[in-house]
Amino acid sequence: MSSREHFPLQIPGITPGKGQQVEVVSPFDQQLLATVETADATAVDTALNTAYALYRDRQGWLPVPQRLAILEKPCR
Amino acid sequence: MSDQADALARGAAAEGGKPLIDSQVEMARCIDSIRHCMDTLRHQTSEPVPMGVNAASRHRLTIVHKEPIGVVVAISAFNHPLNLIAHQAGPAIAAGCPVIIKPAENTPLSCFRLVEIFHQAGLPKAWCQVLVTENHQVAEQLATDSRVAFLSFIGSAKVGWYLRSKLAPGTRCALEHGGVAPVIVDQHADIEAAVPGLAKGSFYHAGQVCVSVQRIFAHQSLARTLAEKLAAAGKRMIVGDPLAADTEVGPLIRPDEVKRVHAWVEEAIAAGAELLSGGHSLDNHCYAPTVLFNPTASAKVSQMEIFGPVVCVYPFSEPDEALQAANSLPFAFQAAVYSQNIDAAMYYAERLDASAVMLNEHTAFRVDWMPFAGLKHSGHGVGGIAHSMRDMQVDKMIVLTSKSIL
Repeated sequence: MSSREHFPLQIPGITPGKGQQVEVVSPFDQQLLATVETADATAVDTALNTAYALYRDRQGWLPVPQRLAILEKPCR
Repeated sequence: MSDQADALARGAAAEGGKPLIDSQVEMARCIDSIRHCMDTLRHQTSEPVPMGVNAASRHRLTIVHKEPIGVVVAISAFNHPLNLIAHQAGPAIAAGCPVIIKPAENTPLSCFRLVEIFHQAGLPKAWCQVLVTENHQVAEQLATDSRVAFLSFIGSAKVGWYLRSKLAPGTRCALEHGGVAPVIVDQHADIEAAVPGLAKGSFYHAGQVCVSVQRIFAHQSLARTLAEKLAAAGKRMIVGDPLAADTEVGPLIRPDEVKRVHAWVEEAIAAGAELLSGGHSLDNHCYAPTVLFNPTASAKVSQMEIFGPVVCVYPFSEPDEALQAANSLPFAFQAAVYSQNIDAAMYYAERLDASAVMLNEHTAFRVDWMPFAGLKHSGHGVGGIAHSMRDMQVDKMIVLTSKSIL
């Protein structure tokens, strides 16, 4: 694990790299573990738009077998 | 996830401060939680509604099946950075809901890593988005937007109830807050057997757990002995680096939390509580496991969730005196009773304000398929995988009418 890992904003439709950054530190020694790009009001609105559009598109809902496969694979 | 379990556990310990040995347990539970999501989904059945039983329902067949409720927003807490995400996002994925997760700002890394594993497993990125908001106003915007169908919130009562008051019409929610958990130890208890569990329940994750043992009401015939044994157990605990293999109690999540916990302990002592162990901070943002004997009822440690490695022991003489004190707060979550007398144990269990009462087990006991619910100010709705999945679905009834149906 890198001590200076960076997690950019991963909101579909939002270009990463423009948001503010917060530092995540160890509570034990305050060592910097990573930086994370934060979401502003526009990014949150975009995320909600994306999620809501998925919900409104019933034809695109994930079928149960696909959901089961998604959940099962990481547990193997 | 299974093949990355050790790395994920180490990452969670590093950012959250929970000792590695407990983070490894959390990681195993996280995998179990996801498996339980699968099991719940597999065994979910459509339910018939009786028809053809009178003239009005003749020529009809009816079935009720489950649909996703809509967009789920999951606001999570720092204290279980892996398993809470499994409990909030797992049921949403299983239920078929698009989910947006706002992990705790102190511990977002485990969430990012966990969700990336689901994306690699085939979950389209848009179906599970993770974001850390730049401030509380943006977080409130996320939770209260009218496009949100269900809010899953784990965190402080103050924030949770505030957000609930601001939800858009139609948005449902589940809130999970702290419990200021009470334990009653009666004169029939086996305190030798009780102390290890009570020590674990008091000091697990430095007390930063919503069902952490906080208030122990012990019969006066054994209260002092119990408190001294607890203090001795606390003094033996290895406190420090969460990544060290033998650490039992790690740091508090932020330096200002160490100061707050110490201020509460000092206030209790100034008002008459007797300090039996701890009562001081250690290097590197840890606080020594602390046992207070008989704090006043009005002390903060008796009234509010400490969320630190501090436990209070109060002597009592009559059962109803202990019950009255245990039930006196506006919080209620899990509680515990220690007694070898089944009639006494059940007397307390039936009368405690709690969603679960552990008999001869500490209040922090939990397996992931249990219902898990805060009452009064401690929460709203019921957690646990199957319960959360039900929250994130709606029933849809289809009524088929045909003259061919006899």
